[in-house]
Amino acid sequence: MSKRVQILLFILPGLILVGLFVYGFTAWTFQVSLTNWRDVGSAGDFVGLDNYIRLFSKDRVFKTSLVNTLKLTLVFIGVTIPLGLFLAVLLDLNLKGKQLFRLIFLLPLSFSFVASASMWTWMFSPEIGSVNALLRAIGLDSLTQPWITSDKQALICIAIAYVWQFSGFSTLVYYAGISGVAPEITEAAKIDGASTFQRYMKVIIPMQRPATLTVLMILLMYSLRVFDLVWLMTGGGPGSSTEILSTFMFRTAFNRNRFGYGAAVGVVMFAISILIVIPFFARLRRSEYE
Amino acid sequence: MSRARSKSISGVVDITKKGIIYLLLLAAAFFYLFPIYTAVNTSLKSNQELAYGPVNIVRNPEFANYLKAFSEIDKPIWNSFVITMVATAISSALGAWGGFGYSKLKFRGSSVLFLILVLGFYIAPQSILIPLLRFIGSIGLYNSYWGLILTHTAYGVPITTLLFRNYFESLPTEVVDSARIDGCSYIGTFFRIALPLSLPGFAVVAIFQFTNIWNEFLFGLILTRGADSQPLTVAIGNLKGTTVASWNIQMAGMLISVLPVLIVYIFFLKLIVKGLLMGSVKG
Amino acid sequence: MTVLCLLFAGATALGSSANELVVYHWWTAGGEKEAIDALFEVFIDEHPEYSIVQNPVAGGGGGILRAQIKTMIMAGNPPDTFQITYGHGMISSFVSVLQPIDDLIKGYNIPEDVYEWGRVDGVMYGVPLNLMQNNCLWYNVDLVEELGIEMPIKSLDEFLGVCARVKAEGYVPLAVGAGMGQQFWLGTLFEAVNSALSGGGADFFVDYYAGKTTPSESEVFIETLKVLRTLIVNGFVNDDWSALTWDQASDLMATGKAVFYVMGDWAKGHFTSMNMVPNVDFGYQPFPGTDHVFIGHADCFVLPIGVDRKIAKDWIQFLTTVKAANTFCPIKGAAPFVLDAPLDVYDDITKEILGYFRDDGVAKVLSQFGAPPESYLDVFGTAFSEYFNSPEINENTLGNFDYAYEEVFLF
Repeated sequence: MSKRVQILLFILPGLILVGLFVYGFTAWTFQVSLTNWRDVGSAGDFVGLDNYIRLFSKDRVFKTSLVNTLKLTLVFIGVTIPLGLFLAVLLDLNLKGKQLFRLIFLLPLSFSFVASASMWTWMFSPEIGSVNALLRAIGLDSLTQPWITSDKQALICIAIAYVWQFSGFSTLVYYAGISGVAPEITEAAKIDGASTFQRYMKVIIPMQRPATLTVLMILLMYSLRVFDLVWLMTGGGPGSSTEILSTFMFRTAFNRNRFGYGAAVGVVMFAISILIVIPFFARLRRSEYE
Repeated sequence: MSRARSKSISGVVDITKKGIIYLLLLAAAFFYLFPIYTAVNTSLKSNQELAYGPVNIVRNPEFANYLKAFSEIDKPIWNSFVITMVATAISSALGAWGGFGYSKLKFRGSSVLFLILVLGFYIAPQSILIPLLRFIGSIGLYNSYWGLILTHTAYGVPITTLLFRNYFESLPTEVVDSARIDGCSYIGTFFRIALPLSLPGFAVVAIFQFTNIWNEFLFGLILTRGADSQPLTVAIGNLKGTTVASWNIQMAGMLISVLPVLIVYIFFLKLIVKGLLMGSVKG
Repeated sequence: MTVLCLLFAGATALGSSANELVVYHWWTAGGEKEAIDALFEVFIDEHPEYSIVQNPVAGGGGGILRAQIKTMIMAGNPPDTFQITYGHGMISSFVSVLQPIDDLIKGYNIPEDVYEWGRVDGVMYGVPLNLMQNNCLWYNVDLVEELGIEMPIKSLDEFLGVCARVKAEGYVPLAVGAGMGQQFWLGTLFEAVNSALSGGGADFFVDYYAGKTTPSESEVFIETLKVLRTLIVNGFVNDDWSALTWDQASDLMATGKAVFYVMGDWAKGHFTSMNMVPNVDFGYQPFPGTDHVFIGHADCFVLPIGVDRKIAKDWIQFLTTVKAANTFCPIKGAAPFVLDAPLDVYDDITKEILGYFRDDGVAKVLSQFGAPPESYLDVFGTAFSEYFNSPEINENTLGNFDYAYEEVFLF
């Protein structure tokens, strides 16, 4: 069997699957987004870019969902990255019980978003939830909040649940990065008289740029596509205070029967993920050649 | 004399430092464990005890809650097992197959094609929801195990191929070359040399995929109807949606759904760590 | 092990045999579940060779069921029949996948206006089963006696005054539950309040649900918003309305924390399933000031395109019989449409409701569950929920409602 044939055999199965399920379907979605297909059953007529024009000029909820997605992403990343780094440093200090702590920090990653949503929805329930119950139990009654029932706090609740679920990933990547620092470097710093604190702040942490890049990209990717958690915790409510891109797309298509319009939202989401991924890949290829 | 004193002073400072660090670690551990504690706590409470509030520890654990929850989700648990095992097996196998190809076979355009393949990992599932639904329906696989298995395999191949390619990169090329010199085809080399050596890689990839597929929700929601084929995540979601929300049963069901992956995490933590890192640090 | 799984995976395809009816509905609990189960039993009694495959899908007001149905239709796999709310707006959202059933339900002895409620372009697609009134006020009898409130309350102003008294005594005047996925219950409250205002009710809703009324240009619409604002700002509504489902709000009234509750008459089924007795534990009146308006709707079953099995057609025809009506409606707490149904199996409140419906002097209006397109529920549910969170009447709020209107009716 020639090499050519063998190459094809090796790479074709994956490429065919991805070609259909990723690229084929995306192209189909793009084509649908150019129609006004509404109501299951009818096909809809070609309307060109009308859906996109409407999305970006007129649609209020789309704007809200973009803003909410951005807010959620910023809080999520803004907390998870420092938290992960901080915990990784703590773990690196090699205290007794470190294995146990590492396990605990990674546990939430094993949960499905559905499980987290079930748990946190109930925890944030003002009457019977454990967050307010805990506050009451330690005498901080005045701090109890409406949490998930308030249109001002619901998004924060989701962010907290999300951080709980995923910060273990950040901790892990930083932990690997920090353990990967060559011992000669830390030895050299010690010899130069640096205290532990200074060793970390001036030497080890600044070396974590690659890890930060990795964490950033993965977190960004997950922020964009988060659906299960939000849909099952609040469904986008109260009002549209927790409506994010993915719930907006789902709701537009399946609750409001605007399938063509919803497809346009889907294409926008696709475009945004490409925009996030390409710079990272470009950076990676550059570093590969260095 | 002064040396002893400075030693004891630094000893005290050391202990304080250690104490603070432990405090911080414990605070973090509390944040991560408190939700799980309240979930377990609640899942064991009878309906009367529920009224006393979620923080108070359960007095008369009612294990029957788990039986009741289990009876509500028994078919979905089985569905998830079958779907997850089969899809994990197939997507891992395809990943090893393709990963070997991209790693050990040098050919023009290999990195471009590889990039195209891996980009598939980054697609947001909402973007392809409707065509996926129509396609699966049109080939008669709606509401079936194979519909979900095919879907999970297709969307899992990018990451499994990536993981395996990285893994095979660490396999010395001399091994492959010497097999080629002996007259072995690439395919033969794959089956006779690479595959046996790749078992650790398989373990990592399989665990990674198992977690992803077991925990997946959206595809399961869209491509199935009813408890016959629906995966456990969807069943838990429905449990949550029922208007008679008895939290004890819900939490019990939720914990049942979490158990398999949790156990895998506890026993195979090292492999999980490896997998997560292999996937994230590219190149 | 993997081989075993592969073998099991092969046994997957679900084909329904010719004698199995695959039904989808959302009556998953309480009196509603009992009612549909009883109905299925009677159907099987009449056709012993048939069996039913039920698929109850929970999720307030049927939104989740309808989403499920849409995915099934898109996958080319429709059920034999499914339940939706009856009305030309709702049905038109599905009409391209439904079969006309005029022939099947010929001779269904119901009032002509009920036929009109459900016709899309002159054709019937759904068979309405149970009559339900939306603009009902329920009250806790014990509390009302304790607080010395005289029932029935005659006008909206009187009602607001009573609410103030109730609040002063430390009770929640009006229970509201419009939590996750159920924000459209605010629309029911909107309907009730609107109908108590002059220019509201039938004069308003027929045009409004037909998409002829721009919210910000409608005085009645704004008046209604003002009254709702009064309710919220004065604390006449429970604080956690956005966290409760409709039955949790019912429980507020049932357990004596709230005095009044505005909900359709399916609340009655909920109360009786808690062993409360009509007029002894809980009472009914049309929402104060609305006894000249009947805002109603119904549940119906439809026949999807592609389904031509006899069992499905038999089911549709079965629903037009008096037996079906009198089996289902009493347990559910609704009233029958069928004109010759004996009424002794119904409780007093249902008879009262039916009396209003059959009174020629009462204007009959199809509610938000049937009249406007399906998207109204989700879009305006969100809009009302946002308004309830900040009940200001200004350009921004009215702009939101105008936008919602445009999205549902014009886009």
